[in-house]
Amino acid sequence: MVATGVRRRRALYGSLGTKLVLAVVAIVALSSTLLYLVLVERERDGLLQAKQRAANKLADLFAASLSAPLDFDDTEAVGAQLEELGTDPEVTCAAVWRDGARAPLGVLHREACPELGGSDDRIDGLHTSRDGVEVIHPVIAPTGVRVGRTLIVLALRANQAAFEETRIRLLALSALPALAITALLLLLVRGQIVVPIAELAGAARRLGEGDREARVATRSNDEIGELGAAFNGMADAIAEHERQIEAATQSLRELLDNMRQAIVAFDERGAVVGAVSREARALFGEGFEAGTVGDLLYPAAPPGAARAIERQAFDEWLALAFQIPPSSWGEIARLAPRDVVLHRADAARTVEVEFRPISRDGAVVRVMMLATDVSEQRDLRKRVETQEELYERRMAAMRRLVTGGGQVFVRFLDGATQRIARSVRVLDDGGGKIHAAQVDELFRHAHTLKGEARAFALSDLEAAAERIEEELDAIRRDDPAAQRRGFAIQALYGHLAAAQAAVAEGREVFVAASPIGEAALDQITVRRADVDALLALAPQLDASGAAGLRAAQLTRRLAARPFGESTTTLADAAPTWGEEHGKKLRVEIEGRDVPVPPALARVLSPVLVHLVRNAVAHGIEAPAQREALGKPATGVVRIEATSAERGPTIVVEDDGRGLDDDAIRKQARSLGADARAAPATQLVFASGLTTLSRAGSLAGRGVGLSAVRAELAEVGYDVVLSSQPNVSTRVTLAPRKIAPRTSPARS
Amino acid sequence: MTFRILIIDDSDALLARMQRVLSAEGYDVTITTQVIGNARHIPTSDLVIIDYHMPGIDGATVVSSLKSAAGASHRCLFYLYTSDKEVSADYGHLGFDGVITAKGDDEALRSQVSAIARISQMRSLARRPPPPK
Repeated sequence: MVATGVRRRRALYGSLGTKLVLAVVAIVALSSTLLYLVLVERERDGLLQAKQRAANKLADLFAASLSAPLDFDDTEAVGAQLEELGTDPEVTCAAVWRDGARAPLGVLHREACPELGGSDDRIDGLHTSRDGVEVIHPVIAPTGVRVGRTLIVLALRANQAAFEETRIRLLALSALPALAITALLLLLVRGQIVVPIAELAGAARRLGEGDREARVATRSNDEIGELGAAFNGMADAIAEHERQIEAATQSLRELLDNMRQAIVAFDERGAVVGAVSREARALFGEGFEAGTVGDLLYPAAPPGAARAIERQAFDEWLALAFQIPPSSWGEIARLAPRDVVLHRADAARTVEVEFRPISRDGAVVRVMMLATDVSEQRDLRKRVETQEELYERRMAAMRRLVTGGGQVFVRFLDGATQRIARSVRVLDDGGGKIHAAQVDELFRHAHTLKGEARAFALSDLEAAAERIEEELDAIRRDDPAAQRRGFAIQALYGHLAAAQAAVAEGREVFVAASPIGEAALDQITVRRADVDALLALAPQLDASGAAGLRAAQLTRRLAARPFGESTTTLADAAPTWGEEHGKKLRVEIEGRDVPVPPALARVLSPVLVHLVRNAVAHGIEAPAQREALGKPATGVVRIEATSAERGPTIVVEDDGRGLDDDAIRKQARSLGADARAAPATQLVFASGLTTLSRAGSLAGRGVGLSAVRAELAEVGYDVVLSSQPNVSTRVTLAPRKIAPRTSPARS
Repeated sequence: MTFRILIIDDSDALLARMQRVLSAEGYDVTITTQVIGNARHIPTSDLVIIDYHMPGIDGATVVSSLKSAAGASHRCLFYLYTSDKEVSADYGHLGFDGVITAKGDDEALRSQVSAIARISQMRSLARRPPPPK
C-alpha cells in the first residue's frame, strides 16, 4: 500500500518522464526564444539601415538642390525646394539654415520638427531616434564654400508597422519548429529512455519480489540497451546463484537428513529455531519444533520430580550459554549435559548430546544441539560391562579364596545353605504366621549371612540378606505398609530363594575359579610328609589282605594330585604365547579333578607345557589362514584327562594344520634317519627334528617331543601322536601296557 | 578440580554401591555410616548426600547440625536421598538444597549427581569476577 502511494507520487512529481519533458520543453523554448530575438534584431537592423541609406541619399539630393539658392540667397527657391520635399510622405520635418544663421531660413512641418535652434547648434551626420532618422547635411556652393545646412527627418512609422508584421511572422516561424522539435524529442525520450527504463524498473521490482524469470526486452544497442542486457545478465546470475544456493541447501538438508545425529538449533529462550533434521523428528517426534529444547530433553519435570535437578541444571546452563563470548565456549560446553534419557511411550532412549555455538558479531546468537541415540550401544556395553565386571569380581574373590582359604569358603557355603534351609523351615512351621521368637531367629540367620557374604564379597547374597532384614524389621515394627502388602511371608520366601541362588552361584564360581574343579569342594589340608610316609607303607598294605589292599588304594588316592594342578597356568599363558606369534587361541581343560598318580604329576606339568607350546607353534594357524580354510579365527587347544583303572589318560589336541608329512620326512632324512621306515607320527619324536626353519621362543630346537617321550617313559607312560591335515593333531598320554621300569611307589 | 562428595547413609551395601557408581564417574567420594563428626568434611566437600531414615536420627537433624557446624561460608550443597516421597516433597523445609530421587537406581543417581555437579560449577563460574578489560 505504502509502496503504491510512493509510486503514484513519484509518477506525478518525480518521474523520469516528467523531468525529461520539462527539460526538453525548457531547452526548446529557450532556444526558440533566442532564435526569435536574434532574427527580430536582424530584421530591425536591416530596416533601419535601409532607412538611413535612403535618408542620406535624400539629404544629399536636397542639399545639392539648395546649393545655388543659398549661394544666391534665393529664399523662394529654398521655399520651393522645401515644398517639393514635402511631397514625400516619409519626410516628417525638414529645415534649411544659411551658414552661421541663428534661425532656419525655411522649415517644413515645423510642428513635427524637434527643437531647431541655429545653424551651428547641430553636427553633421546621421542620428536615429525611436520615431525616425534625422540627417544633418552641409550645403556646399559650386565654389566649394559651405553656404548652409539642412535637416531632414524621415518618419519610421510605416516601417514600424512592417516590422511588427515581420516580427509576428518570425515568431510563428520560431514557434512552430520548436513545437515540432519538442514533440519529436518527447517521442524520442519516451520511446528510447522512459519506456525502457520503466520496463527495467518493473523487471527489477519483480525480480526483487522473487520472480526469477523477470527480464527486459533489449531493442537497441545504445546505453539503455546495454543497461537492459546488463540487467538480464544480472538476473541470470542471481537465478543461477539462487539455484546453486538451493542445490547446496538441498545437499545440506540431505546431508543433515542422512546424518545419524539429530540436529536442533535454539535461541536464548530455548525456543527451537530454523530447520531441523529428519533424525531430529524421528528422535523427538513430529511437531517438537513448537516447544523449547528444555521440554524436549527434560519433559514433565516439575519441581521435586525425578528429572527436576537435570532440568534445573539445563535451564541454568541455557542462561549462561548466551552470556559468554564464543571464545569462552569450551568452558561452558563442559558444563552442558552429555547424555539424556528420553522416556518414550515404547522405551527409554539414551541420547548423547553435544552443543555448538552459532555466533554473530562476537556474541552467541544460537546454539546447535547434536543428539545421537546411543541406546543400543549403551545397553550392550552395560550388559557386557556388568557381566564382565561381575564375573571378574567374583573370579578375583574366588581366586583369593582358593589360594588363601578355599576350605573356609566351602565351610561357609555349607553353613549358609544350612541357615537358609533352617530359615525356610521356620517359615514353614509358622503356617503363614510369624512370631517374635521366629523373627528373632530369622534375623540372626540373615544377619550372619549378610556379614559372611560381605566378607566373601558375595554382593547378591548380601543384598538378599539385607532385604530379609528389612522385611523382618518392617514386621517387627508392625509397619502398616508391610501389613498393607500382606505378603511379608511370601516376600521372605522369595528373598530366601534368592539367597540360596546366590549361594549356589557362589559355589559354581568357586569351582570355575579352582584349577582342580569340583575337587576343591572336597579338599582338606594335610601334611605332605604324612602322605608320603603313608604311601611308603602301601606295598606292605597290598600284601596284608583285603583291608590292607583297600587301605593301600585309599593311600594311593590320597597321595594323588588333581589333574587341574598340572594345568594351572596353561589356560592363561597359552593365549599369550599365541598373541606373541600373531595367533589367537583358547585352551579348554576337562577333567580337572581327575586324580593323577604322584609320579606322573611330577612330570606332567612340564610335559603339558611342551605339548601346548608345540601346538601353538606348529599346529594353530594365523587367524587369516584359519578363516581361509573355513575355520574360526580363534584356534582351540583341548587338554582332557579321563580316569582309568591303571592311571588317567591325557589328551592334548589342537584344531590346527596337522603334521606336515613332507617337511618331517625331509628333516628326518637330513638327520640320517630312514624316513621310509616309519610314519611321520613316529619320526617327530626323533631327537633334533623340527620343521621350523629357525628356533623361536616357543619351539624349533627339535628336543621337545623326544624329551617328552623320555620323561613319560620314566613314569610308565607312552605317547601316541595322530594327525589329520588341516583338521587336528592329537597327542595321547596313556599308561604303558607293560610294567614300567620304575615303580611309581618310589615317588 | 575433582568434585567431592560426602555420602551419609546407614547401609554399608548402599554406600559401597554409590561409591562404586560415582567413583567410576570421576568424583572423589567419601562414604560414612557415622551420623556425627562429619562437619570436618564440609569445607572440602562440594556435595553432601544424606539418607533420611537412619537409626536414631533423621537426615534433617543431620543436615541441620552439619550446616550450623560449618557456618555460613560453606559452598557445599546438601541433597536428600530417600525413597520416602512425603519427605522428598518437603526437602526445602527440612533444610536441603534439593532431593535426589529414584533411590536405588544407579543410572538416575549418576545423572542427577552429574546435574548437581554442573549446577555447582556454574554457580562458581557466576561468582567468579569478570576478567579485567
